[in-house]
Amino acid sequence: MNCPRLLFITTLAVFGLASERITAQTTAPLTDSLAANTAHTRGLASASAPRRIVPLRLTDAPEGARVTIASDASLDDYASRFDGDNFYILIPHAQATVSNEQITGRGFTNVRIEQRGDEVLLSFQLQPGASVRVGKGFNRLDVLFKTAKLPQPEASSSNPGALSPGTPVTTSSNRRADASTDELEIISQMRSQIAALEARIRQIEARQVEGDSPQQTAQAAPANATVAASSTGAASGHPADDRDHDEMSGGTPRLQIQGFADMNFRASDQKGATNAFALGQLDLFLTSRLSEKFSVLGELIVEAGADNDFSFEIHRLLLRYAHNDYFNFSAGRFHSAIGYYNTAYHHGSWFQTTANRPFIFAFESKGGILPLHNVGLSVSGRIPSAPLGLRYVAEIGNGRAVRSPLNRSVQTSVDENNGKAFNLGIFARPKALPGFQTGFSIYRDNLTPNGSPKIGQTIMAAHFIYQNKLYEMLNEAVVVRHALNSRVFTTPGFYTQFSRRFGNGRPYFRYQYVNAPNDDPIFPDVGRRNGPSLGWRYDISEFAAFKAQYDRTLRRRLDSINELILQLAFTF
Amino acid sequence: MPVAMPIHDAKRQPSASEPIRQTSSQMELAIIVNKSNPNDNLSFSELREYFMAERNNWSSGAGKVRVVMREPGILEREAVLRSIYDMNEKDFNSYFLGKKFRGELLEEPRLRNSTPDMIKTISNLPGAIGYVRADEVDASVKVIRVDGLAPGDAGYKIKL
Repeated sequence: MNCPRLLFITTLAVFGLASERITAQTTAPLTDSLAANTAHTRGLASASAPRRIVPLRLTDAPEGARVTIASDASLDDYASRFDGDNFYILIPHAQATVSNEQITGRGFTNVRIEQRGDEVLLSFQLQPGASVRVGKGFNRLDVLFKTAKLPQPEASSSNPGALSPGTPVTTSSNRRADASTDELEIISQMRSQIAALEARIRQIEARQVEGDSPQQTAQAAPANATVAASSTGAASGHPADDRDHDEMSGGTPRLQIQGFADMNFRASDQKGATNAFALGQLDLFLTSRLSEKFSVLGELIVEAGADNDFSFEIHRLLLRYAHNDYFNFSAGRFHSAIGYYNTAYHHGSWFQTTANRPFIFAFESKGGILPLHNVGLSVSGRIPSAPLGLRYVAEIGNGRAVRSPLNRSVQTSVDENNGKAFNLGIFARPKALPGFQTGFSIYRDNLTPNGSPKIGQTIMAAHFIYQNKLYEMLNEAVVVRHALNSRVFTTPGFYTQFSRRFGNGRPYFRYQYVNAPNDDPIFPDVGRRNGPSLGWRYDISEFAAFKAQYDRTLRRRLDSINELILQLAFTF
Repeated sequence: MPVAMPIHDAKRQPSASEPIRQTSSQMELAIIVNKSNPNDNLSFSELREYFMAERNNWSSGAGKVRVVMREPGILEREAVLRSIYDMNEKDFNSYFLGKKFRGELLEEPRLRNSTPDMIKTISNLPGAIGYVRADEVDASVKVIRVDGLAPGDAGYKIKL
């Protein structure tokens, strides 16, 4: 112990013996010493009215409780002392406006305020392990209790601001020590606040990392609108282990909408056809993640028909479960995985290079020959085959309706028969040939047209695709086989498409062919169609393209058709 | 196309009196993953599969793949688009939009607008994969070798 401290304590003791004012038995020695420390100011202070000590104010600080003692005059001459588990503050020439306050906080359990003559003595009973600091303002004292020890800038012996039981008194007589105490107190408080802020920042950062909003993803699409979906049972009941997935907000999934649309001008020399501007499909593509492995995908199409009336149709609605790369399960209405084009480009003209689809992949409602939509179940995934990059897809669904030409061809809610359509596909994306894909699929269904025996339908498709940043080569062939009793009707078809990019432009060429027998029981009006298409696509912005295309279609026993299509296709 | 120069790049420009001293490691990008990822090495084709979301789960069992990208206009991103994706910005957006449209994409790449953000995301997110300049890597993330090569090794492909 250093000499100034010994001298200080001795002085306190001498003044304490001389004091006659403090008489409480339990605190007498202590309060005597405190009183002694303040005696030298008494003579000056007694000439004026006593200071008023207002009711204590308790606030919660990060490390414990803070009690503020305020007065209507300076509190420079206070004295403080520990005794056992009690901490005392003596304020001379003061008047307490309340006798006792029943307050407790973190770090202390009881406060007593005693008016002793013209002095006010405050005592705090400390909780085990708690420490206390006193911060001094002009007319207030902040008593800061700490329930846990925090790192101190210096050792306690050299830090007079950090008091613990047994620490000697700090009084106004030692102004240098007091000033040091104040500075250290401020530093301590700032350190505490910084620590609390750092903890808060860490919490926010951790939340941010786990809770990236879809707007922060790499998609720089012009619009990736997200709207809060209404709370559903499925959403609110997501499993606990999926809580951290990044698209939950407030416990509900978020819906992302991507729009696709196109505007066309068509002119042809086909008899009966007139040139016209035509609004294409408005495709609203919806996605939402329900959990780490469950997601929903939807595609809503609004389109004007030949009667200029709008129709609305749900073209895709799927609940998907992605177990891993080798097994993904979907249920709902989907695009049949026949060949490549149907799943790669389907709706959304902006995706495809050309202004229209090949004959063989024309939509059912436009006279297409393939069941491009199906309602049922689908599984897909990778096949462990490191260098080949093999994938599989297997589908089961209602298949296509043929009973009446007035019926919708996609059997979304009712099936004409109990038999189900199957489709199995396998394709490869070899690692060694980025951009290359080849595959094969086989589809099987039984069709039951009115007034006809059951017809077995088998569709085989193969594709060979190569795409890189400059070149695009699409080649696909299908064979549709209808078996009626002992007769078999075979419809072959194919297309080949080539394009090359030059800056924002991409000229392309396509040749296509389909040849259905005239007496085919399912395709009586398809016949043979073949011919080239020449076109040019120009990307006028990252998400909008202009296409100009010339089609020449040769038909069996019918006049050929020359058609010009101008198209603006965009995504938003 | 004009390239926006990030602030930290501008700061790194040597002064007129300072000799230009750029080591090979400063010119290269380090592929970084979360430290919990057991992979130490990937072949370039595997790396490409992960970045292109051809694989959505780590084959090593490190969970879901979470690709983290820098924002458009940053040199590091352009280097990755060029050397890993073999795409430009437009192709990249179109590619991921197409994958999403086909239902093949579980999670779009995340975007981070600074190197510290990138490192922090990678270090906090299991399954995450991203990239920073080789001289900006810190100990909170793990650098993956590509075809057995680390940044600074002769033949390392991913460069600014």
